[in-house]
Amino acid sequence: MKARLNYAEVAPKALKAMLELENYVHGSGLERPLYELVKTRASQINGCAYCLDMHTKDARKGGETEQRLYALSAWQETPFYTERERAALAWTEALTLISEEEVSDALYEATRKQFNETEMVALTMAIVAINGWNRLAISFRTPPGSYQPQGH
Amino acid sequence: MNVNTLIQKKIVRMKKLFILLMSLFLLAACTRQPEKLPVFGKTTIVGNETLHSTIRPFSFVNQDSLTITEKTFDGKIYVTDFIFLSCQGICPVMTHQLKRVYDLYASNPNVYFLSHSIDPANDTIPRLKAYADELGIDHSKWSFVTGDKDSIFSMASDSYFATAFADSTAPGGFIHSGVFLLIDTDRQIRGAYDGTNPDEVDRLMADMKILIAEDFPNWKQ
Repeated sequence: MKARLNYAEVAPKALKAMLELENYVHGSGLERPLYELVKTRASQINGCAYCLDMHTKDARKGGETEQRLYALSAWQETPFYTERERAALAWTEALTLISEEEVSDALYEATRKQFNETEMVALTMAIVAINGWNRLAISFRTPPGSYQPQGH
Repeated sequence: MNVNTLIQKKIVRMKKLFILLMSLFLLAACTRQPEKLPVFGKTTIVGNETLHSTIRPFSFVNQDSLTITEKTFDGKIYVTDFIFLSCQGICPVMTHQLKRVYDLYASNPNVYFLSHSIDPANDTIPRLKAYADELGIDHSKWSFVTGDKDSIFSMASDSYFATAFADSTAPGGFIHSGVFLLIDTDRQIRGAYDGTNPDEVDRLMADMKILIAEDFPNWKQ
């Protein structure tokens, strides 16, 4: 598998802008394990190999269990995730599949029960960021496998 | 024979009878049934049988994402408590004390340990797993379970004698009793101990020996 182009080299400023968004999410106070679940779930839906490789490695490094990663695509059917994680995953799915179905009031209200307004923005920005990374990696075909997780 | 002699003879006879009775009593004491632990909870009498209240069925998930139900403990005795990982107060003491009990019975396959998280929102499976790993315990012998908060709380208050309830004014947001409960193979509570008091935990360990003798007469202790 070969990359189509290296966007980081072609437009370093574009990468920097994306990293700024990422920095905001990291500093937002959103729990890291929850963010890794969100990133992994969005990457599953979008089918981003590079991102799945990266975020499952990061999740495991952060102490995530194998079982919760295996079952993530069927999270609704399992008792493995907390109410807050379930709310975040439902919000992630709705926003990632936004062209398929409206983001309903009911879903918004349900999500707000677990996240305050500031957290809602952080969570939503996290979903925007990972969907951005997913689209970059898929479109420019970043080869998966090489990612080494950094310290948590 | 004067009256005094008669009284003396009577006293001797009574002494003999007393010694005989005492001997019989001591003999009975030596051959009596082994010591038994009390059964906690309500009793109902149906026909000739006395039924004790039992721990009701439940379903929680442990640190390895395994479903833990009352069936997990079929044919086992277990010690249970209610904790939460961010608890700054009595939980570290309780866990240290329960680990002492665990260490003593680690090689007995009939004994199991069940710690419930009363803070399922924060005590995620990965956190429970990390906690269990840090303790260095066998995950198949000591489960740290999480689940729906209401289910855990109602299990604690309705079925187990421990009280666990949200109290936002207490450190860590929760207050709880620190009790260890000993459950037998019939899902009956056979003992309650202060999990923060080493003497009480010693009593638990001694009681477990009695319960093991009762429930597993062939197990060599």
